[in-house]
Amino acid sequence: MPRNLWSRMNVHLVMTWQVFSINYLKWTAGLFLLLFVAACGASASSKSPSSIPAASSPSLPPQETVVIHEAPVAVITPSQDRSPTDTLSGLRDLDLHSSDVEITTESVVSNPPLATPVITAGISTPTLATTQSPIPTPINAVNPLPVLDQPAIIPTRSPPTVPQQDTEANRYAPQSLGEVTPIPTVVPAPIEVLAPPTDAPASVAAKEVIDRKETSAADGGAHRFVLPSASGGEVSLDEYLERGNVILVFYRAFW
Amino acid sequence: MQLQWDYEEITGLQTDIIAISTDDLSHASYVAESLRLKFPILYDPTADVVRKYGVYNLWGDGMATPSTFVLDRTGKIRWQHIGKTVYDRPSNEEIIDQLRELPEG
Repeated sequence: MPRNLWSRMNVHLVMTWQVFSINYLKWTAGLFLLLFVAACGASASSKSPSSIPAASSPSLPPQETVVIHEAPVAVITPSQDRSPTDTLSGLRDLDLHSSDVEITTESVVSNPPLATPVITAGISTPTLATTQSPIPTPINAVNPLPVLDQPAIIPTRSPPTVPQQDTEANRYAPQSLGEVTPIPTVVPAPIEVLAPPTDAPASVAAKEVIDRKETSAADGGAHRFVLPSASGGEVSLDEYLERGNVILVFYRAFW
Repeated sequence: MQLQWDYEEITGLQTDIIAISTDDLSHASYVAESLRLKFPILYDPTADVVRKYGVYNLWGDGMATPSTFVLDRTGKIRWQHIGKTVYDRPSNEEIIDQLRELPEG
């Protein structure tokens, strides 16, 4: 084979290879670019779906929450070696003892309205009773953690050593919380038993008896009176007695 | 008011007649005018005088019991009659007899 021909073929092969390799690189790069663009488009479409407006639903990172279903009461017993002031670490040490608690892990997109659990903490018994509300409560919600086993703060007041004088200055002076306001002693007034009034009207029967006694006095003296007359003026019994005897007639209506 | 019939005879015995009622004054005036009474009719609205003479509410009706008292000129009760019913009243003759027994002044 002539040298020239070999060299020519060699050159031709090299050039062909070079063209092929260049085109291969070009196509490969273009394919990767196309795949990259497609991947970016797919990720963008999955993050912002077209059915939900972007203004009403901001894109939130997916959160893993623990939702407790159908758990009426969860009894949480804290560990005994926890310090009274430890809150976060103490909560981690809590042990759940409830067979009714069903824990499922879900991925939520939007945050549901937070429901504050009703927590009843007793001072004497270190038992925390949590009543589950109908709305699922995410555990990762930031709620104020109760401080358990904290000694009760009972305001103590020391009895006053010196009795305060009930003076005008002490009565209207500003007092602090530690001071004890003296309670004025009220001495009940003695109950005065009132005697029945002497001029109380007697019963009719009793008065009639008295009247009979008056009219039937030993001297037989009649009661003197002055009464208005139907014809005008007043009539006195004494005036009539000065002129003579008197017939006194008591009547009703016509007779 | 049967005493009206023998009024002259009664006054002839140095005696006057006084009628007392607990009825209102207008009714007493009507009685005095209609019967042309020659003696006064007095009005005792509070029934105090009726009580003093012991003839108030004897029948439980809150009114004066029909009754008649004979007083001499000294003011003493010489005779009395308290009716048991509305129509239980002494006759004029009985009253005049009592007047005649009174001492003359």
